Amino acid sequence: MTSSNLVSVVIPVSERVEDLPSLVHRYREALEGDGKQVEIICVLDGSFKALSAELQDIQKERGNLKIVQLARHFGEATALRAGFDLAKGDIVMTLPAYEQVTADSLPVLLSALPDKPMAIGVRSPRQDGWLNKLQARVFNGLVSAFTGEKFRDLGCGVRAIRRDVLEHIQLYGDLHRFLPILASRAGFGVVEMELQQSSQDHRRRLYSVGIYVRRMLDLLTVLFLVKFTKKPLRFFGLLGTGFSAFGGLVLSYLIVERLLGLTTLSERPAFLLGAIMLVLGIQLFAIGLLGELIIFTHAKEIKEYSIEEITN
Amino acid sequence: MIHSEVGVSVAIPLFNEEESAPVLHEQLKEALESLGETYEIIFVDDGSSDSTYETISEIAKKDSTVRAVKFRRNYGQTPAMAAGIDLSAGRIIVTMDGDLQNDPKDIPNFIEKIAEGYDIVVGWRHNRQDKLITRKIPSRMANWLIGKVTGVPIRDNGCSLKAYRASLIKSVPLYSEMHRFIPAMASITGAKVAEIKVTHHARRFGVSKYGLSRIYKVLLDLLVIKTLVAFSSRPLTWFAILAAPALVAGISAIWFSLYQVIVLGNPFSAVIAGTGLMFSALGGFMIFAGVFAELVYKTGDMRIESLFSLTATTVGEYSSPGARR
Repeated sequence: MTSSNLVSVVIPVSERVEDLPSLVHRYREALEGDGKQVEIICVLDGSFKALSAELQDIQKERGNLKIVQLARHFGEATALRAGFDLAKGDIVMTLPAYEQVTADSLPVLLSALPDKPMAIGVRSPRQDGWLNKLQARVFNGLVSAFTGEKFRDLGCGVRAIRRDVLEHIQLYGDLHRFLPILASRAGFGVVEMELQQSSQDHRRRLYSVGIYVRRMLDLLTVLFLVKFTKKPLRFFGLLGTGFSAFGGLVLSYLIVERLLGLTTLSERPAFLLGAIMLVLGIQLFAIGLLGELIIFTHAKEIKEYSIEEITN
Repeated sequence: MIHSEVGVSVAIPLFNEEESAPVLHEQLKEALESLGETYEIIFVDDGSSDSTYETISEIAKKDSTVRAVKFRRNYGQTPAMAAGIDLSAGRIIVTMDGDLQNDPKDIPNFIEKIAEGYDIVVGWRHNRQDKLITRKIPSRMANWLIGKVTGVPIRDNGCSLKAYRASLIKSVPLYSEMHRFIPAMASITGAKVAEIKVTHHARRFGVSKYGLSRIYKVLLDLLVIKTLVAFSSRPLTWFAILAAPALVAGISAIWFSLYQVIVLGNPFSAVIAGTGLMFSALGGFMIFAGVFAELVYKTGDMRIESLFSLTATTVGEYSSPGARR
């Protein structure tokens, strides 16, 4: 059962939760003030005893609040999915558990739907320190360079999505950050709406090294997912060609030198370098071929296209 | 519209072809009416930025034999063709380009060939109307190479005008940019392939959508096709073949360095021995990659060995022992 005036708000809860109970009120007021029916779904991703009790009080008092307790910490993508599964509205919003943009600005975001399949928030103007702005710039810039999809603020967890879009998107791991990209790749237009950044948003900023490493791996994942899922050899082949060409060049240069009698190979450690590069290149090719075989043997499940409309 | 029994389905991917579509529709009607069979036309709009879909859906509203399909975005020619084939209800499926370079007048010849017992009929653009340097020469080289590698010698793999027995094409996996290799893929099933000459017109509307840059991609695709067509049901063999040169090079280098030290009494060379070990290790890696590939095939759901039923026929006359007097 879905309802057309109902907005389902999914809040994945894992960190910076102190303000959540009052935030739930503010979110609700803002959306109801806009004439919408609201159901709020808080997905507790991990153990939050006190918070859970507080939320249950709100639940008794106001209703229209679902609380989902995940049995362990699964990560944001899974929490979102759990929320999406329960959402009944034709429009589903994701909102962070702390105030990223002011609750008052949410109706602006909703005004873009249902004409557009998806609208995402852009915190503007951004009031963070220069270091954080730079981090965000670099990340968003890299993503758009890798995927060809230009989004200004992927770190913003404020999104409004038409329900049918969700059926076309697979979310897992750390991919929630790339939701707009996945939606856009699935053929849905995504608009960015400038929303007022909340004063609560800028607090902690420098992350541990591990976080940055993970972001980089995410980038690699999204690059692979967007460009090469159905043709792994194109990806591995490109890398493999690079390595083996380099290795091959080094080897042939040394072999030519040897044939001309200018050197003996046993005195040239560079020969080993060439061999290693060539070997690595060929291994990458082999991995690409394995990937192709995996795709081929699952070809029955692959449907590469998504149909918007059929006449007749 | 309910297709109880459709003879021929024509699947046509369209990308920014608002001008061509109505002309193509006219020509198709003329050619298909002459067949004396029931038919349907499936136009697939591959996320055009012009009004292609509006044009074809207008046509579909007036003509009950036409279906118009709209993709959410541009996915490319192979997915568009795959969609057309998936939606086809006919016993015979014809695919062709939407840019009027193929001539629908050729379709009856294709149907005739299928009736003769061929499973796949591919068009050969013998008087191809394209630029020599950027289109014809690379394509001729590619076709020669594809023929050599796949063992299915077809003069013109790039021609979109093809006809298939529906049961066969529907079971051949079609993804990525594989449409070029359908005959090779289909040869896994033992399909009989015929090639017939078709007319090829110069482009009337719009611009050509391909270029020279595809050569590298085609080369990689060929490696893939070779792997899939020849060895997908026994990948270990293929990886062992690939491993052989590395093993030979590696082991001979190791022997050479031992020979230097033991027989000739020269100082030990870490470079030669190291290189040898490296290549031997590569050989080992490739063989284990092959073992892994066996696992992949085993857990996948593409069963090459069940495809025989698509093309197998019974020969001669069988009388059961009980029926005999």
